[in-house]
Amino acid sequence: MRRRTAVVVGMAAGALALVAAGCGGGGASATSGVQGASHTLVTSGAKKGGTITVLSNGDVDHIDPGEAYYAFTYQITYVTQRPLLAYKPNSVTPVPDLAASMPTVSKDGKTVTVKLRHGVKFSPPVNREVTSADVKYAIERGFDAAVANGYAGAYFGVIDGAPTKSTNTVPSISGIQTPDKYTIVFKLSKPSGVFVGALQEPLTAPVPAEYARKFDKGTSSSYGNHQVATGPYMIQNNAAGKLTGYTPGRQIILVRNPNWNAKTSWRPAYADKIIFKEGFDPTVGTKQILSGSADVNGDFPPPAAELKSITSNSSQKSQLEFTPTSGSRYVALNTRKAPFNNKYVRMAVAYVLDRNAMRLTRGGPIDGKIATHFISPDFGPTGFNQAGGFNFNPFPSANGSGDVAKAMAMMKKAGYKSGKYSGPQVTQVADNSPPGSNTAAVIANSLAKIGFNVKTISVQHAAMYTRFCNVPKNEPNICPNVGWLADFHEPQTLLDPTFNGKNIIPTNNSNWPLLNDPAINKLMSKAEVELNPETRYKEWGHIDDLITETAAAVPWIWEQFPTLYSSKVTHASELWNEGGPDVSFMAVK
Amino acid sequence: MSAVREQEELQREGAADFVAVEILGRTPWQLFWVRFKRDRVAIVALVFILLLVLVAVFAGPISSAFGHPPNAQYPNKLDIFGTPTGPSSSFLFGVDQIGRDVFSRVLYGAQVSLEVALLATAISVAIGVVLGMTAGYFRGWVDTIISRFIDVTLAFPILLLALGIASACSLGNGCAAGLIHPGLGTVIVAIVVINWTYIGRIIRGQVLSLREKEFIEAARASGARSSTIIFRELLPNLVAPIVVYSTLIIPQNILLEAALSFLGVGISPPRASWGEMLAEATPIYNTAWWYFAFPGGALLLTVLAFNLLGDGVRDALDPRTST
Repeated sequence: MRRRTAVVVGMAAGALALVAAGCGGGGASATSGVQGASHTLVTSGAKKGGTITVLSNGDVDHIDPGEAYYAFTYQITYVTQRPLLAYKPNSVTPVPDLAASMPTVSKDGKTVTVKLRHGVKFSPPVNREVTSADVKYAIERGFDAAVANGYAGAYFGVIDGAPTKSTNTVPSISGIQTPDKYTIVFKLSKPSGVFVGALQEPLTAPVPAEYARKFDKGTSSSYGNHQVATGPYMIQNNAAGKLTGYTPGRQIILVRNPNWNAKTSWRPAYADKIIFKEGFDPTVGTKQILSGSADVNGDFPPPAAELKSITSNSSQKSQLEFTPTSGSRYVALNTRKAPFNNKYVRMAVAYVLDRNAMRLTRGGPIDGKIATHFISPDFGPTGFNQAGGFNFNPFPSANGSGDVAKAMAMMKKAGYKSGKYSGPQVTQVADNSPPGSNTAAVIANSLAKIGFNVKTISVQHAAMYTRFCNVPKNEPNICPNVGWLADFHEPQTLLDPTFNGKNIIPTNNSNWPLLNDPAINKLMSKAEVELNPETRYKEWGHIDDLITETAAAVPWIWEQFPTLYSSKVTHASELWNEGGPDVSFMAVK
Repeated sequence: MSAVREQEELQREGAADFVAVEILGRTPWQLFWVRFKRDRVAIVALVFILLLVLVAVFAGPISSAFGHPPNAQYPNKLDIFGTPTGPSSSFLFGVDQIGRDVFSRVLYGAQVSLEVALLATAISVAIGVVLGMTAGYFRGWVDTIISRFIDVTLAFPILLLALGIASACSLGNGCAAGLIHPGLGTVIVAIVVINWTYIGRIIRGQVLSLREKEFIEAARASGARSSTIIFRELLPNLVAPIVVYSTLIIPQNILLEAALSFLGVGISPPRASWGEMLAEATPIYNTAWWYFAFPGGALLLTVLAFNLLGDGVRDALDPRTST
């Protein structure tokens, strides 16, 4: 799962990053009319030229496109690199980018063929046309420990001959074949429902082997600082190819790629130059965008207090757009330990939690809708509707404020005659800073209504994961501050790493409830290899419902991310990328 | 004031009380009280502290009469953006970021501050006095060990040391084989570890000069044992510095507890502490002034009162240092 903000959680191949606590008071919409402008995309008639300034709080995670695994970094990666597939700003449907057309999948699902566009060239100093061998090399280097890509194992490990652990050199993968310059063929060991979707990851963006190999040697690749581009923009560099436009923690300067041919691309690329300025406090950054001295927020959401004043100002309100973050935050209950090994006790928790009060700790309705299951609304017909959409709510309560009577009835079913818990104290490990610490306090208060005495251990957000919730043997009864975002719009990326029993590992675990339900595992194994999208989405929707009904984890918010544009630019929000701007579609007015 | 004038004044006051007696014999405590009650500022501080003690002791009844339970949450007192609402007739000091009554939490915060102030001070003074007297009286290798230990402790940056101890002990089952539990205990231990050294050093210095005085030599010559000399001869003469330094480190301890709670390693939630309230108020200071103003004001007044009281006590016990 891609990170919204920068907290790295120990990365093994296939280990995914987590929803960070620092996401401030982001998000929006819901019932109350606090929605900003609807997504308005200017597709024609916009002016060419000018400079766009993006503000961010932190830096990119990795500048190397093969290593990048962070929503903010992707704002740069996707306008400088061309993966096989990509998304247009207001869409969650992948379209061919470097590929000439959508991939074709053989009947047995084990052969995926992709044709490349002609005439796509690398930026200086490489200057030659891209071939299928460059895509092959790009994916292979993702398995090299020197690049340490975070998702290569999870999505590309299914290719025949792919290493099962990261290697010390760039491996040669027999299952990636290049019959000619413009054709690449993937031979898979088994069918995979998410493989085609994964071809939109930046790992498939071409890397020229003859140029990159010398940088990929050693224990850590330096290709990132010498990268060449295929997109409309490139990070400013010198004649030898070394980046001059990247000062870590300070700024990243994008200039036009002279070798980019507009005829091969659907990106309009209006602006001449894009500057990412880093190290901004969210409040200061918000005020700069409102004053027009910068154009858009990159990685931070404007703080709740700022959103409150922006949404009550009729002219500023239209500068704000909200984008779903494709996932949910939830409260994980440890199903291996008493009392939450009892399904009815968990269901009582699902009934009693005051999700409305929990949402208020993150900014209220402006942060998103109250979640009633795991697949988020932005998935729409790709799983959300199949799970029952907004109507699927197995643990309803008025206003989402919790139903104590129903919860006590469940506790009685669990064998607590008074309807209240009477066992030993339960423990939760929570963030030691807001908003997570506040959410945990609200949870403890809700649970007290059915007799739970909750002991809260407060630690830093990263330590909450790495020392407690990611380590099954140290896991407390409750992990109140966890969440998961999708890598791309396939429900498997939301539900499989987080609820499949086979994915429980001793460290770096992301199945936080330690759910190991044989019936659900079996359905997942079947859905993973289902190639028909209709059937696949239906299966995952059903799995979502089943998981929600176990109450192993209680989802409470589908968040949205607020993107604030200056009055001087046109809007283009990346719906697929949890919000943030697509600078190749923005224009200076 | 000059010694002569003070003498005259004492006689005049004495004359008013006991007309028939010509020369008054006064105990040191009577002298202290006469001097102390002339210090209006110190009296005000003392009254404030007594009120604070009453508030802390009766926090429960007061908050149920004028407010709400300190840990009860009222999410309907937050607006649609989750911003807390300000003072009103039912929430005198407004509510905090999860809808708890700030008034009640300030009252209960007084308990924490006073508990820490009194317990931590008492323990550190006890340890400091015993070790300080031992070092000063026996000198030699005992003094070397204790004094070097004090030097080493004082060489640590105070706040960092306290932070280290508090964070090492604030997880799970605490530290020192479960003896020190997270929460108030941890904070007190962290404060004691640091604070006994100051008082220990001062007592050692005093004892070094006292032990050469004639009355000690006389006691020694008459065959008194060391323990008798320490507790019967030396200790009564150390009461003044002990009282003065105790009152002066109380406000320091209150601030140290607030600082540790502010940094998130102090009192464990949901118990209210002024320092922890200030930490929570920081990110929303521009929308909820009441959340930092009331606990901040309480902390300011309490520390100020203890400082002024300490000054008054010092002036009254040791007039030579007064100006």
